[in-house]
Amino acid sequence: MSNISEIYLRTLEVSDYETVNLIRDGQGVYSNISGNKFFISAEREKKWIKSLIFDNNKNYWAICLKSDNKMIGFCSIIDIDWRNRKANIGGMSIFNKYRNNGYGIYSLKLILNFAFQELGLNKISLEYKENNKVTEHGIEKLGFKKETLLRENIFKQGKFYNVVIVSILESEYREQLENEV
Amino acid sequence: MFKNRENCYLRAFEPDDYKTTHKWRTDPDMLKLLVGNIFYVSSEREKKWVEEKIFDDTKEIYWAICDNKTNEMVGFTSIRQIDYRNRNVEWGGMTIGKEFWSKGYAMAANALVLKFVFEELGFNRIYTSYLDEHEVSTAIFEKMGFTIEGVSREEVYKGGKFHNVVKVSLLKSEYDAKLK
Repeated sequence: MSNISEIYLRTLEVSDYETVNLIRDGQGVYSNISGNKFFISAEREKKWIKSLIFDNNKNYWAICLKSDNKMIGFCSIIDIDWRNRKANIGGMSIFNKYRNNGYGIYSLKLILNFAFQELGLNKISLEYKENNKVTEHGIEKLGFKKETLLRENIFKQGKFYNVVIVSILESEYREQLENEV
Repeated sequence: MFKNRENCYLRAFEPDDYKTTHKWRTDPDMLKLLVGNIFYVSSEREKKWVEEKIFDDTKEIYWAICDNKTNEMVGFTSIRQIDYRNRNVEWGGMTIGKEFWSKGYAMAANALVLKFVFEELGFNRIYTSYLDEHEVSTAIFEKMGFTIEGVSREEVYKGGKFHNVVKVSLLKSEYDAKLK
């Protein structure tokens, strides 16, 4: 069994662009995410990372293993809305061979810790492709609640898919923390 | 619209407001009491300044204070150093035109600013400062429930001498308690 102390998040650096590009292109990523297919050159990836480093309304992190500091994936918080104190979880992916270890859920948990305890936000939302069992199980465990079903919201792989929006409030997160202790 | 029953409302600056703000900015009686230093500002520069406030409200928000009945601009006020993460903001000062002094506009407009800061922006703390010899400010901030955090000694030089500046703040919890 793995646990949350095996990983940490660090800021994404421009030099990570090739890794990010590989992760994005990795097997099994596209069929699970709620986004469309794009062909992204590594050069464009580099430019993209350069731009988001200077953006105050989002944060991208490399997910790394404590044992050898290897980057195994990336995750993010985007659309930070300071006035209404909410944000969305944006892109998140993990190398194929590191999947199904719970690292994705741990990364989400670390994001929630930062969002609620440091940024002082009130609500975090994310969307995922319906019937993505791994995601569904993970976010339920973290206390996210289903909010909206967007019918036939994305077209990919020859058909339309539904997308689910879930969210967790600061009060729910806090309650969970108390129960953990 | 941010309006009170007594006498006034807040609205965004409009381009022509520079004429009014410039008139007040060049009145020695009004400048004497401000924390800020004395500057000679041309009306063209004042115009540009008002335009800047109109098109960017991310770092500072300026409002004209207007009379409920006549719609005449009687003063202006602002918040700045808007810090959403710590939910802190500085009150940039309250100017009421000399011709409108002692009519209760300041207190009424103050209440509107606090309402916006605490009930719309969701902030936790508002702070400001005033010259320690400014007796009206002393009375007004005390009446609004602000707490004196300290006195910054000889912080401002104007009128040939240094002036002490009083630092005050009001918390959301104190604002809520006062409303009840």
